[in-house]
Amino acid sequence: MRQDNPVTTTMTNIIIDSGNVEACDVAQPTSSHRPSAKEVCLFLSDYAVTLLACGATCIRLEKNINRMACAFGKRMEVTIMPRHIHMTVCGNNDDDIFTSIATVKSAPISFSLNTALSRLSWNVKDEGLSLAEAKRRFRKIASCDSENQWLTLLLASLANASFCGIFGGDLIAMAIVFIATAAGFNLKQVLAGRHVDARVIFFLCAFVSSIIGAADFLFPSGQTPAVAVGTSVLYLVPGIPFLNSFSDLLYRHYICAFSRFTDAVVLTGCLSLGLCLGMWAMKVGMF
Amino acid sequence: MSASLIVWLSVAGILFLIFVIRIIAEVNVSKRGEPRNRHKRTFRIIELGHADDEFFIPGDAAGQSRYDDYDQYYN
Amino acid sequence: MLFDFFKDAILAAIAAIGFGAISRIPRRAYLWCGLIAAIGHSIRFLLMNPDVGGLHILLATAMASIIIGTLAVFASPLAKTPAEAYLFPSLLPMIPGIYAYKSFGGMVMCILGETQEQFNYYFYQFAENGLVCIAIIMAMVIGATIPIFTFKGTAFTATR
Repeated sequence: MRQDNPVTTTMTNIIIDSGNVEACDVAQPTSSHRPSAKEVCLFLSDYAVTLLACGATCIRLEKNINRMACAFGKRMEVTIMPRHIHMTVCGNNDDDIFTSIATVKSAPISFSLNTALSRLSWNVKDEGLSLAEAKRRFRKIASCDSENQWLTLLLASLANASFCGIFGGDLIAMAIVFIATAAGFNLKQVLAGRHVDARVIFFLCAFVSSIIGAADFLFPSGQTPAVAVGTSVLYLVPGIPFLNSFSDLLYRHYICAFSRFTDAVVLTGCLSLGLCLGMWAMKVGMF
Repeated sequence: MSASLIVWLSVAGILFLIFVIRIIAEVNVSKRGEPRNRHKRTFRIIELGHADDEFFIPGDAAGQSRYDDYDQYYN
Repeated sequence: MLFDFFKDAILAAIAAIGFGAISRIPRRAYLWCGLIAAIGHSIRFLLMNPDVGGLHILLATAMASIIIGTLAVFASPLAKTPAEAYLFPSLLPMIPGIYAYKSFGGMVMCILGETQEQFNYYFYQFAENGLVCIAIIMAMVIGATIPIFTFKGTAFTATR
């Protein structure tokens, strides 16, 4: 995972230019024990892979890591690749330099983890936390990220039902979409708990949601059956990856932007295939 | 009875079963502290593999790869 | 008209909170997320309404996103949360999901189609929906990012 290669003195020729990210005055830590570049780098790369996995944009990642590196009295440079983070940290001393490469973990998108980690970076800067304390808090934050799955299920179903209302569905269509979403999202949570491939999950959930959503065609009762089918799968659209992708594009992280966009498009494609199959099975024409 | 109706009923039935089973499992977990049959290896006819199973050589240690990246992604 | 406006706002708020819950926004951001999404989405509704604004969906979305971004930046010190933790969730009700899957559906039908007319029709569906979808997301992100650039100090010190 990490290359603990002996860094030769030739590497100190790297031009460290952190001025473009945030005004960074390399402060002297007040504590008696000054962490080495190696310790700081290993901590920061752990932090970075967790932050990137929970759906942070590249610009936030850069800002947060840079802020903490400055607080520890180091300068740092980082390359963000879609699945790896390559980081060099160096201290004031020419020999105090370390490079690491870490693999980005796979985790669900979590803005509460993102928030907690961003706050940690400010705590390190403002309160002058020691490296050991920062590590302790980081582990605590990273292990405590959980959600109430039943609440999420309820909120997601309500959200999709109200989405159906926005697109002009009547009350019956909204009720059908609520049930279709609850059934599909429940399946999604069960399958995600069993570590099934996300593409398979998206396909299956779109398939079952569109079939349940076609109830209005099967048992005619409402005025807007087409809206019910069309919106029954919208809870699956990977909106945050799309937004993150274009945000990275604006900040010129083109490789990350492209990879996130591809991820989102692949998932949308799986969703659409499931929807097409579902509509074909229910003999509902839409396209 | 039309084909669509049969498909609809079977899908709805399966989803309802999944929902009920999940609730029962949840109740069991909260009652006993841990799920039943946790360590018992059950026989499954269909098991979904990971992308790295393609490179599995008989004799390799079975385990999770670090690179099973699509798991749990974008939940 | 007034009823439609408020209905749109309330439904957008519920949608934003629910889709935010899927991406695990912090509990204290729920309220802000719903509020900002309601304001943004109802403004877009007004702008697109032929009697009031009559704008194209692209322009209306961009303007609504600028408003959402501004609100999010100034709400972030109050909510003690980074702006994007509820900026992006409050944009979610405007994500053009229907365009996205219609584009893929068009692609599938284009491959399955037999005659040239069918191919042309479905290829048009694929290209049109796909392009509009990408353009709308782009407009949303650019619109929502402009306030972050403009009020840079507030935006990045929110979690302090």
